[in-house]
Amino acid sequence: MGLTDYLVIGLFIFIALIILVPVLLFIYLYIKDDNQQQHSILRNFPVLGKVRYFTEHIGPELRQYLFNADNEGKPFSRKEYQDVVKAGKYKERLIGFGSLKDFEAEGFYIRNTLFPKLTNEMKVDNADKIKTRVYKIDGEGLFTRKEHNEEKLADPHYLQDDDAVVLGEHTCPYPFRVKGQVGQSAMSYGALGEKAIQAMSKGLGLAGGTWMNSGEGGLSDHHLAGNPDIMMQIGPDLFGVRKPNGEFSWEEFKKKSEMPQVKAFEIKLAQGAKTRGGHVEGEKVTEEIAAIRLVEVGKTINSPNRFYEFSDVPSMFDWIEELRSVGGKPVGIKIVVGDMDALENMISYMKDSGKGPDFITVDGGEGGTGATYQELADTVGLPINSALPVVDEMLRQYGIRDRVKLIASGKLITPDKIAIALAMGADLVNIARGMMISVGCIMAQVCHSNTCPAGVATTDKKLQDGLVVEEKMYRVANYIISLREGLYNLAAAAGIDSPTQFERKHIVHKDELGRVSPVEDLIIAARRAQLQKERKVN
Amino acid sequence: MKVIVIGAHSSVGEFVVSKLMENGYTSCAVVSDENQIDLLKKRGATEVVLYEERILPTLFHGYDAAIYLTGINPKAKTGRTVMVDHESVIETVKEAEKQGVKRFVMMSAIMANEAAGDDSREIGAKEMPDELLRQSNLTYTIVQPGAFTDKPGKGKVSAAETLDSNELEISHEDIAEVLVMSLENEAAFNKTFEVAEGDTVIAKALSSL
Repeated sequence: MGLTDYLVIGLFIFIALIILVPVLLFIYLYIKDDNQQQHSILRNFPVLGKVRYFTEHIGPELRQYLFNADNEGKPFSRKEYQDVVKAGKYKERLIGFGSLKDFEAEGFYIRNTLFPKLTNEMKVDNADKIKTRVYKIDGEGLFTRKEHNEEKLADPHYLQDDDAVVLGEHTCPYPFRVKGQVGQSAMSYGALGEKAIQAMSKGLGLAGGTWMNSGEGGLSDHHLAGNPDIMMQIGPDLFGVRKPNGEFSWEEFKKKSEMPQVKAFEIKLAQGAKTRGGHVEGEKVTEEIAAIRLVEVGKTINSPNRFYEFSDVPSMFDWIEELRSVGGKPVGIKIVVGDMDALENMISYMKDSGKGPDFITVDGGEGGTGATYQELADTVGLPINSALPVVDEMLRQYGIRDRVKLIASGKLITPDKIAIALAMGADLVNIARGMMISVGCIMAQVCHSNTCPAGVATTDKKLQDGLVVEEKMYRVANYIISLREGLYNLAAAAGIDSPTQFERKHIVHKDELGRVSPVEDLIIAARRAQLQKERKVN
Repeated sequence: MKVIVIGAHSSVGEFVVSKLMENGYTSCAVVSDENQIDLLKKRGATEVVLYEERILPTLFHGYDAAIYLTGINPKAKTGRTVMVDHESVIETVKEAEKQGVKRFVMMSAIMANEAAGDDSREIGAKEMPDELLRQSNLTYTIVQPGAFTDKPGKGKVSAAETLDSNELEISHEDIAEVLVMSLENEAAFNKTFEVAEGDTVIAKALSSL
């Protein structure tokens, strides 16, 4: 046989393989699908039925890229997502040819004045520039975008010293003075990977005038990587401040409160997403996590949904007083507003006893970053726009509004939403998912599964390879700076010289029919609903 | 040396004030709005003066040198785009001369020279203030910078009577340093030059003018 013959035989074998292998594979899968008892679709339509599972699996991504209109998509629309990404990447918020917002829909609007403030009339502190990095686009093709990353000295847009927001001004020896109104909401190490936490820490540290909430999973070295101001959260499971037997450890608490970076403590009574206790799978409790949280390695943690340390308002306030006197730093509570009676109870006791938290973090029912139970995330607790004015008003009624600062959270990821929250009574605003988007989150909605494709909400080393801390940290800083700048823009439009002066009168609600009503209407409606509930109970 | 900075509240002006402090000068920052006083004090100004027309006759008293940032008309409020106000320059230069200022460093318009060759005057008379200053008896330095960027300064520039290239850029921080370093560098006395990002340390670039 000559060379040609070998080649011809080779070719035949090759072609046979190309046809045979898929056919065999098809037959194998056909038989397998036909015989399995789990999926009825696959039994009736072997192999073909797999298309269903495949498309269902990649659905969220496909919808995001191909089918969602700009204003569609939950929890954040494509537009909202892009606004955050652009602010972080290019430090840019300009748009062309008008807004894409649906102006027919109901929502809050900011009342502008006829005579806005000029830039140089604004009370802003831009003395210390921030050395950050931004992307500049050089050219864009169909499949390519040429862009480069360059250094930039950015105006920080801090509040001026006399406008700074102070937590625990009159109650403790070390009040927390912050020169910006936007910070990072509670996100634990463990829920997020070390790289995401480090990138946020470094970005927030660079931006300054902000804070980082450690989340209830204890204070890790990753949180401290960029030396930001830390608000340490204490959950019912007492991670990081507990004895081996699960009791509260005053010794550990004292240690944490002596750290210069730790500026305040937040007791987590509830969160929008987790109005039930937390759960950490044993395999996720690595040696490092165990050391941070002060728990046993490899053991599943089921945490309670309420503190053992107190069971009612007076005992909680006593505990807060003790924490404050031992730590010397401001102590606040994080709540979700549902029942107004319970809230009123607490606030009236605050007035009567003269005790109470230095700040209250009001988490809207829509808040909560990642993993939780669907039934809790969707319905428990009021959304922030309803909860906030109610809390603010109640504190005013009892004459103790000046004793306590309000921190709001719940999908407040752009300057306009933050400004509306400030006008409704918030002093400060917490952001979680906006920060996650800044460090690369693509909203794949798998935060509960440790398989986050962007390497954000996962502790998997391989997936985290995709996240470069030294690149993402600048996006976090740019995002924060850009939000502060946006707040000053809105303040100028409303005719005030600092975003700290936003009040109810600066916003208005418009319904689907174009009727406008003031924020006070919300408060009146909430009160009426409460009265009706009481009548039914009695 | 006591230096007065006119137009101190601009992006360049802020850096001029900081650089003056770093180099041990006593500085007075002239601003147009009360709100800017704190900012410039923080940036290192020894003194900050709010400009009003009536203080012009005594504004330069006791100062040895002036740094004038054009495009900033002390009479106009900030945020308003003004062409270089020729009259304001004439007035300021005359007052400075009369009140005993010896050094006058002016940041001129970007690419001021392009206007000189344009007979139609469409680009505007960007080189006019330079001309006015040259005719005075002050020891002047006129710096014509490239387009401004907000990158951090590198401390390195290229400076020459004319630089070839149409895409010259310089950071706010670097142009500020050039202005401050020109104050006592004799090579820069009575000279007009262009400056942009480059590879030569600023002091050296000025000395080789």
